Amino acid sequence: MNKKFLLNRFGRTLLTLVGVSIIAFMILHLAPGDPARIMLGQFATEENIEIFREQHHLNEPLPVQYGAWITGVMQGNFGYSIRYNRPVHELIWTRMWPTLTLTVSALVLAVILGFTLGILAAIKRNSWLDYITTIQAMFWISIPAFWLGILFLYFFGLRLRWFPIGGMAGLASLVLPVFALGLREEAWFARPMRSEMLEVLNQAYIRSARARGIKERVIITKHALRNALIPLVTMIALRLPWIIGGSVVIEVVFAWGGMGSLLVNSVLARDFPVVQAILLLISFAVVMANLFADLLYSVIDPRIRLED
Amino acid sequence: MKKLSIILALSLVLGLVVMANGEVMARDTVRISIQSEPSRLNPVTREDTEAGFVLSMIHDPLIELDSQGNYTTEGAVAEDYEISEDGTVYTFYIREGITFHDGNELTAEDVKFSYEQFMDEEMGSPHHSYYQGIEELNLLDDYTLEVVLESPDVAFLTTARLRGHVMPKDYIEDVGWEEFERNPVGSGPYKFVEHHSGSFIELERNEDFWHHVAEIPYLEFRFYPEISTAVMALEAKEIDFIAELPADEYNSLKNNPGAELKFGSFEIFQDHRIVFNKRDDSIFSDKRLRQAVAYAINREELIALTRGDLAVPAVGRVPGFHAASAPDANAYEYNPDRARELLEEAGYPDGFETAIYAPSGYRERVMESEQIQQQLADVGIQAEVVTLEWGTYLDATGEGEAPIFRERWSATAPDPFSFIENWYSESSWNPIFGVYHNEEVDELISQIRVETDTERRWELFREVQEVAMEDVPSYPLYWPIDGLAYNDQLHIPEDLFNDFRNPISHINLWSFE
Repeated sequence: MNKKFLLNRFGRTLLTLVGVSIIAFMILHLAPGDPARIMLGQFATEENIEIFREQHHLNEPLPVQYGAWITGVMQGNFGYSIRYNRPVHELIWTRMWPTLTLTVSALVLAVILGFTLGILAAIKRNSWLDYITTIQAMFWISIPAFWLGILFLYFFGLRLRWFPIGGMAGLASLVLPVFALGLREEAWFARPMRSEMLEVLNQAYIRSARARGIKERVIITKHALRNALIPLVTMIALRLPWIIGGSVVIEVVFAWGGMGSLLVNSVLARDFPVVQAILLLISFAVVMANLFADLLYSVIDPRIRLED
Repeated sequence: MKKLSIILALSLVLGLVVMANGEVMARDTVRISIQSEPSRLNPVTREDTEAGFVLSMIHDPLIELDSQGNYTTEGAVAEDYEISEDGTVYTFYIREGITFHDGNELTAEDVKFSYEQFMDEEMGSPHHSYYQGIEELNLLDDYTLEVVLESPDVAFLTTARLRGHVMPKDYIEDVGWEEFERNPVGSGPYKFVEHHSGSFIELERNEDFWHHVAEIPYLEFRFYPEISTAVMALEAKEIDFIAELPADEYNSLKNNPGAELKFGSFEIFQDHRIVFNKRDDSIFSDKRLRQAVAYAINREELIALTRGDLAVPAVGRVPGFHAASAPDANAYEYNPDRARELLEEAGYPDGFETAIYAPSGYRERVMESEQIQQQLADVGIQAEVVTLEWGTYLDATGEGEAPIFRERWSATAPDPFSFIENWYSESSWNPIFGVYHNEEVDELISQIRVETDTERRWELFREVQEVAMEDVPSYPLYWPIDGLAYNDQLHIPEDLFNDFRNPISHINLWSFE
């Protein structure tokens, strides 16, 4: 049973990955216009365009092109960036660390803040704290990431001069982008945390614990919190893609030189090998996060395995 | 629990604020924001302006321009140059005693090598075609290079000035291009230090520079993909200068009295226009309809919409500050009545339907196209605005699908020839800009190609513009002005404020007050 479940999950993941890789590859061909002419510009001669097509195998049938590309990718060869004239994996490697720093910090901030607020709101239900938690969550979710970034830069950077305005000059310049990215995600954790907690607090075993005269603090931290946290763990894995997605916008606004700004730059410059590689990597991360969430859930809650 | 978390949150915020401690202004570094990370630092193959900004500080030009757009050897690798009577032999006398950053001396051999790189088809320079007319490169001695052309070319120095890069032969042959792009070497006022991927490029002053040793020891090109962020960083003095500041940002900075900034502006070698598809199957093969559109457009309104003070209405194509400009050419001043008359003459008293194409990535062009749409509607012409992604836009305009399209042309300074080149029937650009045939224009352009007397040449330029503007193959909208905003502690010499010298190409002459 267990084996079958695993096989099923891995099989699906593999299929998704293949599909995603085809889409990432096709992006170039689905975009309007002739890729060679777009890359070489308005005044390129027919001759140069032909040379370019040869160099990038654009004359081959699509399945052949895809085959060549995906074989390379599996060997860790993402091709050469047209704009930078460098191996794509080298570019991505240097740009991956800033993105990881940003997204992981934002996730940590979101989890700590979101869980804390959610728990407090559940305990102090219908208090001012509960209302503030709800209102602030709505606020962060409804404000566009781009606009939030600009506002942060304006108030905390330009007006108050607390933090540098964009760039990657050490820890100080990490603060604003992490908050701009993390606060939005915090909102996604606070609300579910609150309702999970409320649900658990209404369970019979909590009532009986209270009846036995166990201290409220112990009930909350030892009995309620543990059970309420379980669904939230998978929630983290499921929000990961959104954090990565949000970081694209945040990186551009804060001049943070990670994969997101590389992606935007490459799209604008029609540097398709880089675009393809980043799309593939992001999709890979998302698919893996989903798989992880699935597996984690089944470990935590055995009923999921049975249903499959 | 509650207390604990509040204390935790507070200390987190406080800790971060303390760490952020207001940055101390280092006045030994000038920081310039550029919009995107330069592609490859390769003078031959680069296509983006950003790589050009960086490389122009690392390299020296073969020939320089003065503020009027005349060739000069002041600050150039060539100490002197000669052009033979028949205009086919250019002899460059190279300055002795210039050394590259790696210690090797710069000689005529390096100049020859640099020419060969641009001529080499394998290298794939976008400027390759400019060098096709070179027949021979002869080293006469260590400091003399003779360039022999197949036929006289008056504009040779304009188009084939090596884009301002004399490159080190030995270094490049030793390490190869890929390594050169990571660690470029030149003889210019600044030396390459490091490229911090995704963040900035760091240069330091070349203490042994043979000409004006830079005033400011360190130079950084910082990448700000979002212009609003760069503008805030400028106001906070975290950067000192924004390269390619958009007109609307310049205008709003200038109207903000609180900003501690200096401003400057100069006219540039560029024109903005609409181009008509003049192929036989196009409605605009009828000259009267082109003229009607021209008369129906109110250019002051367009300029006010997108550029504020940063443009002047164009008359002919060569910008007004240049001697080859044609102030007497027909400007088609706004005259909707005349436009209606022309429509009637052409058999369209009730107007007709057409379309204006604009590339979607260029906000100014789209906004102006929409404004033109309204202006045309006033005389009865119903124009649809079609905005297309760049690749599709190129296809639609080059293949004659677009009846009217919104273009911009940046000419290679200092010779204005490329402004009029696409009017020539045989030019490869002729079909790209809607096809245009006029024998008189062809004849005048052929004369311009070989005329060596400058005064006479400018006269021919005026003449060809006057003739062509009667046909309106395209309608010039305006000549843009570049607006600069920079740190008020920065001093930039007055004679750089023109498109021929350009502040950003001479950062070694900047200083902090």
